[in-house]
Amino acid sequence: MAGALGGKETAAIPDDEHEGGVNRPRLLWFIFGMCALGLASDFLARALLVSGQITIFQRDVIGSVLYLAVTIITVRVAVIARSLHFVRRAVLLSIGLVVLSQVFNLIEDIPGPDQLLILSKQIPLPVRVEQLLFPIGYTVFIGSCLAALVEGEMARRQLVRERQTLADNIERRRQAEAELLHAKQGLEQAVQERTAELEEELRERQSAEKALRASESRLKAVFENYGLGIFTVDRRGRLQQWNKRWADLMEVDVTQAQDMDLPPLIHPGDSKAVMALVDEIFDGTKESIEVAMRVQRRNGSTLWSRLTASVMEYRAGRPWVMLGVMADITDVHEAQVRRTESARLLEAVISSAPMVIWSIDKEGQFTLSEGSGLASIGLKSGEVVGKSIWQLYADSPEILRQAREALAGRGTTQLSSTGGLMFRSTYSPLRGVDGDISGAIGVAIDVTKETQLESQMRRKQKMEAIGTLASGIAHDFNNILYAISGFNTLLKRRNSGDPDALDYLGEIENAVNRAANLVERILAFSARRERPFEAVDFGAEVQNVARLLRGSILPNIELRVDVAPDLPPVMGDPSQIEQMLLNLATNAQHAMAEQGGVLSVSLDIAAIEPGGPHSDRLLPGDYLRCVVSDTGVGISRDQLEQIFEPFFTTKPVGQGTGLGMAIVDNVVRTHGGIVAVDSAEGLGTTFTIYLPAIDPAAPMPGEFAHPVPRLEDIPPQHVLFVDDESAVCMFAELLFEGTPHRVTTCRNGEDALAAFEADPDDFDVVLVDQYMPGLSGTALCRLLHAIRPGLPVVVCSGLDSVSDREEAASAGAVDFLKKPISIDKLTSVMSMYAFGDAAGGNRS
Amino acid sequence: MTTVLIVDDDPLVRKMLRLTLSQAGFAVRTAENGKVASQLLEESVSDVVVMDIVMPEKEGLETTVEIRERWPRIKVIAISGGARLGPTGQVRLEASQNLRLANRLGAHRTFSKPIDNDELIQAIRELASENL
Repeated sequence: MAGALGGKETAAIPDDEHEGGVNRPRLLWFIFGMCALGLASDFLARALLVSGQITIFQRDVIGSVLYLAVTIITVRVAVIARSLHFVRRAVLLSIGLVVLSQVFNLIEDIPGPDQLLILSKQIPLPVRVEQLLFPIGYTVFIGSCLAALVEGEMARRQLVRERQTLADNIERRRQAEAELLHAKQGLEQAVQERTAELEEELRERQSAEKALRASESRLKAVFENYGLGIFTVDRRGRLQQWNKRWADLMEVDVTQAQDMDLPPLIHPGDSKAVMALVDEIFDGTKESIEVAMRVQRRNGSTLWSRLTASVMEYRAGRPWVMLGVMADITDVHEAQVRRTESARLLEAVISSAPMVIWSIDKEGQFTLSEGSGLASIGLKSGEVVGKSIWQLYADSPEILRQAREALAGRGTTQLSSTGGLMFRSTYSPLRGVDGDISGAIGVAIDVTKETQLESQMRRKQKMEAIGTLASGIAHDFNNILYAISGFNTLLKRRNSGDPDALDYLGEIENAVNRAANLVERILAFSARRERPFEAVDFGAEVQNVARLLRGSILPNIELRVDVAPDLPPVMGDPSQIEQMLLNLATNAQHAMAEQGGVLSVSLDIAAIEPGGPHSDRLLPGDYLRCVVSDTGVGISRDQLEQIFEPFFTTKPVGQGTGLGMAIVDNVVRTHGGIVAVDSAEGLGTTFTIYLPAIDPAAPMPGEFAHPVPRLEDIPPQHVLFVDDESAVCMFAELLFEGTPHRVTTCRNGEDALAAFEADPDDFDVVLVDQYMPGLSGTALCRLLHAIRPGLPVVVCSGLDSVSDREEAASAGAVDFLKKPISIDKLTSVMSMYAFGDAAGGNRS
Repeated sequence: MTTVLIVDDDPLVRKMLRLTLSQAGFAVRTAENGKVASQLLEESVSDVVVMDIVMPEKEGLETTVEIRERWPRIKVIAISGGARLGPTGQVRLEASQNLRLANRLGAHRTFSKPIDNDELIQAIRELASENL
């Protein structure tokens, strides 16, 4: 019995262990506890029965209640523990116990149940063990049955719950499936719709692509044939695309253009600036650029182009490809350069023109003021621009008048003197495009020097004319004077006893002397150089004149002479220098005749520096400076300009010839110097004379300024000299006497022509008078040239007129000489043709 | 007696010189140009000829040369009052050039008009004495 039990127990162990052995010991102990409690209660009831305190029935009731209670608790616990396994064990245990109790009963006398009760009554306490087995087994059995029932119920319930859960799950799944189905249907519809759309889109795209291709090909045609060069370049500078025009511009072969970079195509001179701009495009600093630049064509030539470029494509948000449009602006640029250069040249010409150029608007406001002449009137370029001419020159009515005239449409030219300078101002109206007067322009040229030169020239011409006249009349005049003086002398002899008559005749003689003196002065004034210049000690001349003056000077005039020691000489004519000094001294004495004063004459050496005082009129070098000053009445400003004019005098009629200062001027000029005059009315006058100093150590050619070779030094020449006047011919013969030269003289052109024709190559040079009876000089010149072209013919004339010179030149004369012909002039001309060049004149 | 020939185109001067030189004790003849002077000298030579240079017809320089060649003993005193003018009035040779020329052509003395007659008389006397 124990073994069978044990086998079952062993078989049940895996379930037990499987269902959780944690509760097993506790439960076993609990069941054992309960059995113990049931037994204890039975024993207590049995004890009470034995003692008679309760009846059997009461014991049975109590026992039953206790068992029932124990059973209920056990089942409850089992249910709580939900241990089917335990219940099975409890059932097996109880069956075992019951079986065991029956075995005991059988051993003893196997009473029935009734007997049990009777036996119980007979058996004192303690109750026999077999009697306990039954309630325990019973309890366990009941409890196990109950537990199995409970467990089965619980399992059923669990099943019901699980089935419910499953049903729920199925339901949810069904719902999900339904939703899925619904979704699937929607999806399918969407797919259909989308497909339709896509098909439509595809069609559209195809047609768009077709249109695009057509448009692209049109664009490509435009791109290729566009008049401007188009190219694209990426940010690395690599060229990507270009059109035909661009390739033409750059003279690039399409095959060469592969792998081409932009920078080398730009002219090195512009590369830096242009690439900087391109960088700005790629940096995103600029949207577009426009620049004129030179490009380097493949053939090495340079082309001016205007590049307009902008970003064409972005990559990763950065400018990646640049589109460039290039136009050939070489012509435009060249025109612009020419315009600019022309404008610059114009500007330079205007600003450096030796004049003042200005313009005013209709209101008289200056709009331009330029020219280098501005400096001479103390203005800067553009200084008066914006100012009003009416205000600026309010004190110069002449200027305002010219401006008004010009604004009224009438141009004027006027000489005006400003600040010691002489200007020739020309005003013209300025007309706008519509032809209306929009202002006026003016040009003022500083003609101070020209005016001075002109006045000098006029003076010179005047003096020459007077000289010619004087020379012309001198012959007759001197004859007359000679006759008067001769008869006067005869009369004086005859009337030697008559004092009155002698007195009158003396006066006649004085008059004749004065007249003769005048003629002499006029002749001197024409200053023909009759004697060669020599080295003159200017200081000695001053002392000489001082000596003369001391004997005749007015008592109220003090003479001061100051001559610096060791002065170099000057080249000149001592008599002319003396005349010049005497004239100056006489003039000074007259200026101080009434109130007296100081006449001082000083002489020293002065260097004329380039750019220094008087450097405009004298060559740089050493000059002897002679200052003659007086403290007399002075000369007014107006008269200062005229004092060197012949026959200008401030003296009363009969007291001055008006030639003194003119002679001074003439002498100074023929000596290569200048005379300056400075005067203040009431204070006196100072004349300063500069004459070029010479180096006394230098060899003297005996001639001043332009040494000419001596006739003897010129290679032998055969001269044909033609003059209708025998004296002139004789003079020429005399000139060449003793020289290696030969001279053939003819009295008229016809003779000369005959002589020349006989042997044309025998003559080297011909000097011919212009005015001759018969063939004139120029006519002869033409005839001689007809025989021998290139023959040097010099035409001479007493009249130095422009027409004479022109006529001589047109006749082919190589030179023109004014009579009277001096040896110097003749030698000069001869040497020129003898040596074959003009420089020959300097050989000596 | 020293014989003097005065050659001058100016009748006033001729007359004045004739009177002056006559009074000074010379035997005086006059001629108005070189041509006349040559004729007179051909008739009879003079000791001294006072010769004006600038004259119409045959003029002084030419006559001086002729005298030097034909009558070398005759002394010539050249006198000139001014420039020699060309046909249109222009100056050809100036007085001083004339006299210098005369000197080179054989004139023994030269004087520029107006002349101090005392000096002229003195010069005539000196030249006349040279031939004695």
